[in-house]
Amino acid sequence: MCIIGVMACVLLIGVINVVMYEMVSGLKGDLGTVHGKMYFEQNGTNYPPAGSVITESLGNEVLNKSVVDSQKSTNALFTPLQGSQTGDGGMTMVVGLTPGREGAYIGNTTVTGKSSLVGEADNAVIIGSETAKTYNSTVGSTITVNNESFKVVGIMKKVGSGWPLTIDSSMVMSLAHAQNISDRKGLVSTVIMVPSNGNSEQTVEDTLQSAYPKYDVYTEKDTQKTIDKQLKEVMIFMNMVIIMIFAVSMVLIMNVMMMSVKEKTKDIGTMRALGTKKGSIMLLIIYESLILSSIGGIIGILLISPVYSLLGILMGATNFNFVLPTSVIIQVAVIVLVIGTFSGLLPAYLANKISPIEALRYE
Amino acid sequence: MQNLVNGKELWKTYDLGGVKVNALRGLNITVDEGEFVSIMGPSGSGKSTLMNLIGCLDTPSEGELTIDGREISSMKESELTKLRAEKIGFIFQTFNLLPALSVRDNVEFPMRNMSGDKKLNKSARRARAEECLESVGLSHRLNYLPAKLSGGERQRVAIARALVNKPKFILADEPTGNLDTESTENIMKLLHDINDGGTTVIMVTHDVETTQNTRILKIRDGVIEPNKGD
Ligand SMILES: Nc1ncnc2c1ncn2[C@@H]1O[C@H](COP(=O)(O)OP(=O)(O)OP(=O)(O)O)[C@@H](O)[C@H]1O
Ligand SMILES: [Mg+2]
Repeated sequence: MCIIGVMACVLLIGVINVVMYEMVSGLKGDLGTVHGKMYFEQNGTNYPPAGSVITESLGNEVLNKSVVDSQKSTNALFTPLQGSQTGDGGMTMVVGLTPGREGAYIGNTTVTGKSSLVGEADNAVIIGSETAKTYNSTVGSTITVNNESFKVVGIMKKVGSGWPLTIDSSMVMSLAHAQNISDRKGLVSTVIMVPSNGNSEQTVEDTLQSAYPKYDVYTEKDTQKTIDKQLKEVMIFMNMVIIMIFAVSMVLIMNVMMMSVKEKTKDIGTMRALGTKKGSIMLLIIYESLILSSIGGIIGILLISPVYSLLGILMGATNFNFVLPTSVIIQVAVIVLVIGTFSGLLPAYLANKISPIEALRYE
Repeated sequence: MQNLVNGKELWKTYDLGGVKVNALRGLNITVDEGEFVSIMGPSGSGKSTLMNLIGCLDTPSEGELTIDGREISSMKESELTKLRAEKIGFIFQTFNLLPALSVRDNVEFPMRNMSGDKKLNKSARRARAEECLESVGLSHRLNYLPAKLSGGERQRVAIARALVNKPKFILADEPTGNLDTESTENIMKLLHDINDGGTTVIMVTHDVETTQNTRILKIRDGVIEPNKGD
């Protein structure tokens, strides 16, 4: 009974931990795509900079600043693809950029097929893994979106959780084509910038900020802040849930151990009469409660992976190849040990209160 | 002959929610090394109370009690625990074997309560446990659980357990109270063998048959009755 309870609790704690782990690592992946890059954009817009509008000529001005490495930076137009609501509720993001400067956006993400649009047809696209899933496309295939057809020349490896709209759900094409299909001639959303040799991000930020006070420079730091903010609330909630589950398992084991101590009053009294020290009795009880929680814990840990996968499948995920992260196992194992030890303390104290004389009279 | 138990003017008062029960009322007792003492008396006369004091499970409310030369009234609980482990072998009416442990492990158990250089290693403990079980004729039951044994066999295991730390004396509170005649004879023979080997035995009993060849102390209302011969 109690073992099943502990098992269920451990399972819950484990799954929550895995969800948090996945979220954090997903967000880290997203963060990685911003790493080392800076976005010049309209004031008050965020990341992704789809809400920002600047003229292409202003973009070129920024690109020509000496603090910006013009060879590695690019004008970019971010437009969410109309009507591209995917099964997961995500949207595909069209990212138009100057061919040859794809690196500014996709960084060193591994690409199957071509990683550059140079020399490709006008409608050539490099797409993220989520986009590939959504449109069921492979390298070389042609997909039709909103009556426009695109030729897929490259597919990027999965990097993040798909939140916020980033590489995984993107569709990278030439800036000209993107402006064309979205009817935004002469406009871009942002300039993705890499500092030129010898300049720090801070220098770039300061220089641009004083030259263009009405515009923002969005950096990795800001992304981190956004992510932290998003994560913080979820984390607080999850941790509260964990603490509650934790308390439930403690009470469960404690109850069983108290009953067990009561049942064993005569045996404990006998042991005390035969000269067993109080400390040894205490250790024995804690040991027993540790064993109880460990059995529940081990079964729970073993079940985390299948249950999580099952949940994933129920929620519509396909190709689930999920490996339980060691850090989660360690975390849960520590929790199990703490539960075992602490829930044994009160019963052990009660066991020490047993007087051998009373216990021997006990029938 | 060395004096092993020496109780003078022993009082034991229990407080039952305001009502004071005087279980012992100025009882005097001495037991010498090597003796076999039987304590008899009506129910409620204080036999078990006296055994608890001699067994260092409890301390007297008043009076002096020395066990093997040491005054126990003022001892700390941890010292009493140590004394019990090292000097006293207990035999109970209800056997009190640990149900989860095998016969061998039950007998081995008190050796684990020894500390310092008196603590034996696992194999020495096993060997000693088996030796004691052999002396009570139970070598063929080493791996049994207590629940599978008859009452007489259980009490023999308990005797082996009481002997295992080579105690100064054995305390047996109605050791044959739950046994049939044949097992009773068997157990009494074992206790006399132990006594012949030099170990003092103090036993509480209701059965006159079991008091043959022992010194009988009669207790009534918390004091020992003077011998009619005196
Ligand atoms: N822990 C206790 N708390 C209160 N009263 C007790 C306690 N132990 C014993 N008594 C009382 O002390 C008196 C003596 O009890 P004790 O158990 O020593 O008698 P006994 O001679 O062993 O009797 P029996 O032959 O029935 O075992 C009894 O009146 C009993 O009710
Ligand atoms: Mg009694």
